[in-house]
Amino acid sequence: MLEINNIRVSYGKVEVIKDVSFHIEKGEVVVIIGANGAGKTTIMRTITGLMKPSIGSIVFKGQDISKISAERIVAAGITMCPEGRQVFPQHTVSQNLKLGAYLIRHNRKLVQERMEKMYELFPILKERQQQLAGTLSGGEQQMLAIARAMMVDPELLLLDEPSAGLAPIYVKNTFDMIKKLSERGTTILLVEQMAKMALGVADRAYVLETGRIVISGSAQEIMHDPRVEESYLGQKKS
Amino acid sequence: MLPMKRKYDSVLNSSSKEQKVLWVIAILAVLSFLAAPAVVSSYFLRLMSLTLIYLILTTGLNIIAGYTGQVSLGQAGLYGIGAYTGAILAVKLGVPFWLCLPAAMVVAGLFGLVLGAPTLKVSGHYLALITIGFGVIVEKVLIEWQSLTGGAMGLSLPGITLFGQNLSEMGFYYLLLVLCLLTLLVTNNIVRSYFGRAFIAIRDNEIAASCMGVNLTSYKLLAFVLSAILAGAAGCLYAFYSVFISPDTFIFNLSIFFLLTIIVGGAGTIAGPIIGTMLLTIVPEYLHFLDDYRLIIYGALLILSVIGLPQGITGAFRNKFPGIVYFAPPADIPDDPLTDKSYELENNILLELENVSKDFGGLRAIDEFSMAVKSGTVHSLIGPNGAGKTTLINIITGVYQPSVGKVCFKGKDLLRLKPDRIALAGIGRTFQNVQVFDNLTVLENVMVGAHGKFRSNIWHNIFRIGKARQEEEKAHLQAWSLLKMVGLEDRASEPANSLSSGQQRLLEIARALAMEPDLLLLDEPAAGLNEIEIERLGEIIGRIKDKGITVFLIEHHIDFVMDISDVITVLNFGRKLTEGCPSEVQSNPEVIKAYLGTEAVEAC
Amino acid sequence: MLELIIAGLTMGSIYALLALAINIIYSTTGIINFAHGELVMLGGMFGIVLVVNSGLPIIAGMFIACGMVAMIAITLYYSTIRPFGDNLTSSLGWLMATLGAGIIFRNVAMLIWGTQPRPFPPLGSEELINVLGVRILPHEIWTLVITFLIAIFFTVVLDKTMLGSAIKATASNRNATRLMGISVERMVLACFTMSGAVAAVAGFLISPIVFAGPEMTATIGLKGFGAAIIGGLGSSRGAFAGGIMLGVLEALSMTMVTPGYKDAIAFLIMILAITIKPEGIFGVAYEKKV
Repeated sequence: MLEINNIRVSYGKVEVIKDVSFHIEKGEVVVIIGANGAGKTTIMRTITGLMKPSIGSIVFKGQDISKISAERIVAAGITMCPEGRQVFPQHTVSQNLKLGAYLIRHNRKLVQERMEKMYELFPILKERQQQLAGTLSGGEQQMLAIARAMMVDPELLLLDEPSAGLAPIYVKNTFDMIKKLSERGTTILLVEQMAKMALGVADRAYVLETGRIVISGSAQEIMHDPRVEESYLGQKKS
Repeated sequence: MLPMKRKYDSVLNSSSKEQKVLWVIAILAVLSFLAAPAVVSSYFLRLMSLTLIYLILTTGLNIIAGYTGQVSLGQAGLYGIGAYTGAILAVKLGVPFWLCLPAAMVVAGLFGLVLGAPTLKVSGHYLALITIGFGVIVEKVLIEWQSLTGGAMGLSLPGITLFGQNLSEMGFYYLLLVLCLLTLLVTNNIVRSYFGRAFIAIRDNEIAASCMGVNLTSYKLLAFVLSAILAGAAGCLYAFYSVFISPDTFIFNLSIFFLLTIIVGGAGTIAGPIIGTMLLTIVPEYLHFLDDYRLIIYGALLILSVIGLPQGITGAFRNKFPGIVYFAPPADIPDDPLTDKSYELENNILLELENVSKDFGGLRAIDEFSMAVKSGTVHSLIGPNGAGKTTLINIITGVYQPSVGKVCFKGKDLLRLKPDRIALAGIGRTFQNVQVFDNLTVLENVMVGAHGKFRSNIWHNIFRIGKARQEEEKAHLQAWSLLKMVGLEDRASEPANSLSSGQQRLLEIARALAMEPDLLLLDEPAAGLNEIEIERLGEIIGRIKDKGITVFLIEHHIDFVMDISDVITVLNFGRKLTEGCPSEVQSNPEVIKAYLGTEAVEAC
Repeated sequence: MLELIIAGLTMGSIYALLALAINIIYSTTGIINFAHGELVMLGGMFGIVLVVNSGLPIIAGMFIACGMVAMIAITLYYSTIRPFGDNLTSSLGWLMATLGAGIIFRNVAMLIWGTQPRPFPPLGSEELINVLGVRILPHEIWTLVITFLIAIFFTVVLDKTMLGSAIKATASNRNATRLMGISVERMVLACFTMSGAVAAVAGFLISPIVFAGPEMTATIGLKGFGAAIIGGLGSSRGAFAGGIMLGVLEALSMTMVTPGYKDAIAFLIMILAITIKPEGIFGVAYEKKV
């Protein structure tokens, strides 16, 4: 469904992504793990069109999307739940959700249906409907961000470090949610720091290190690969 | 003869080729201005006189707008205040010119304080609107207060007398030339001193400047007052020069004209206002057929300059000839820039956080956090993304105030202190998102770090006497030495934004050390560094520790943290998870869980 | 005294109209359009051409002028604000650029139409009518009513529609807005269009009072900024309230000082408002995150 071919992405003068290729099949859950500064968020922003690769192509359902604007990529069926949630703090929970449904806003019935469905999946949001999103806790904001990204029923959902800064209960919830969404048919790509939990819900995984993919395989393989734990906690001191 | 030759030699050797060319151009320019009356027509001489008057004002405007970055659109008002003060004193009280001039400067300076005060807490468009409003208020008062100012009919002034004789046109020209050169000299000395660096630091990055010990309020007000004094002087000179003044000279369009000269010429350089003022005052005289379109051209110039040439003409020159900005390395760079530290502290605790909590709206970012950092140690803070580490550093350095709890440094409570006072108390820091002063050179960035050590006042620096020169030389030498320590001495004369992000992090460390702090806070110093650079960083931190400076750092590179730390505190969701020496922390299952997630613990 | 307050309300409505238009641009970009006063002036000048010179009825003329000024506003956006991309809040280049554009507009108008202000037909008759014992011009009533309606329009659009929600989202976080499938560019253009149209209306309403000429909005434009700030940037309610307050306070102050100080008083109020409460009556203050 999604093919990344040899992309190179620069942030100002710095080349963050040096040569990355990977692919995602329909219905999969794929996770990219890597240390801070490896370039995970840059890849996500490039796929969604907020950044553009200097070289290489991004093909989604047969169409090269590497050069089109971010808003048209959303219309094509890819949404993202960005790093740090980035809910609109001055808008209420329900306003945030409606903004997520902006592309289908003229079909009031459909928007209402989808909102009900999101409230079913995330009951806390229903309670806090009229509250300003900026006053929600980190975990609640994460729920909101995911719900918002799901409002247009995307074919491919991107999640950028969904567990960052969340309390344990919410982390488990988040990953349970990701599993549920995958079962409903959404293809999911996520980048994470919490390697093990992410691998628990994924089908396949890639490990990213300073702009390159260094390991790839099924989630099971990567989970038991000792190299992963090393790169997080360092070599054991005796 | 000999001392002069030695000074001449040292200037010769320490200047780059481009700087020598500039010296020659400057000398030629001064000579041509001196010779002008003999060569040009009387009309052109009047034009040059007006240019000199404007130049005094725009040099002042450059201090507040160009160097300090506070856009002031009210200079015409200050200009008018200077003009009318001089005129009223001369006409109503018979005060001679030689006293009117300083009086006008003082009055304008006071109004500069009045103008600057409301702008301290706001910036950007609020600042612009306040200054515009000020200018309009002055204009209206000049028209309405007829008993004082003569209203719209204006005032006529007596001529200037020197030794009983009236000053001629040519005499006035030379007077203006002398005063203008004096202004340029004084301004040059100010901006080359630590005052100038503080101004630029404020412009480039207020928060970072504050954390280096620069008191934002004092320096902004100082810049406003300096610009006002010069505007007042220019106004008074203008009044006596044109012998008749009326309120319709001192209008908003004139303020825009002044700002335009700075933008076109180049903000933040001594030459900028010179080029801009001369260009915009003299060139229109040769394009009289465009007179009807003059203001339209100004408007277009404003738009084109800001979009196409934001650094002005001098900026373009600097980009083309980078050698213009050049600092010669001293013959001998000392290897040891820091002095040894020793303390008498209770329990050896340098920094203590007691039950600190911080809320952002409904979000509790830090939750009942307590920690003690012992002097002479390297103490690290680790934790997953979003755990609250940078918030903690911002609390310690005064950028945020904690909602609950206390922060004590060297036994004293730091609460409510602004970042600059905390820096002066002995805490230096670097930032997670690099905050160097982009438009200062690498060397000058480090020298800003030493800001709090300077004791000379502005007069010492204007006249470049003893104390000021010694301090400057010492800071210079120390800066070179610090750059050598972090390996950046080859890039000393380059602008800070030309460094890679890894190098900028090293620059921030050198800058923070310039103050010789007791506690050095490093926020992700290893981010973006390759292996060799990380090794170097470890060495540098080792050297810092040897000097007795305590290091507190936040990092994600676990290998690195394990290598250099004496104590590690682990933060998760704003709370302290655990604390201990590296091997303890590394084998703690809670820590593994926090980083890799519960699956890891279940799998074990 | 009552006449004075009515006059203050009328001028206050004009200030409110300017503030509303300034506010809609601020709501989507976070910046103030320093050329707005000149857009109002152009509205008035187009009115002279369309209504006085060409004889079109006022309402038709107003609609056409709205379209013309809206197009100029869009040109303004492309030439002075678009070049700065997403980095609007980090530097002040846009301030200088819009200031420069305003100067160009004013002086081009002077070249075309000369500097002499010209009379402009008011809405309704030129005779005073009696309303509840007060003698008032129909034009003044129309001004108040139209301003009120426009204020309601903006409040409804900004606070109750999806378009308004999207506009505010654009100012809050451009990238997150794009991730919703919303075109940031279109939002900003929509706001400039609305701002331009309202400027033209303001031009038509103020020209009968101060006479139409290229210099007429030099200080009125600045007072519009003041009104927006006093009321609180980011709030339509604030823009309306700020404008009315400024107009009334200014009128009342005429009982205490000579008329020549009128402008000075208005700016003094603005400076005090910025100093004491920069976020205005209806705005909210924020702690800056590093």
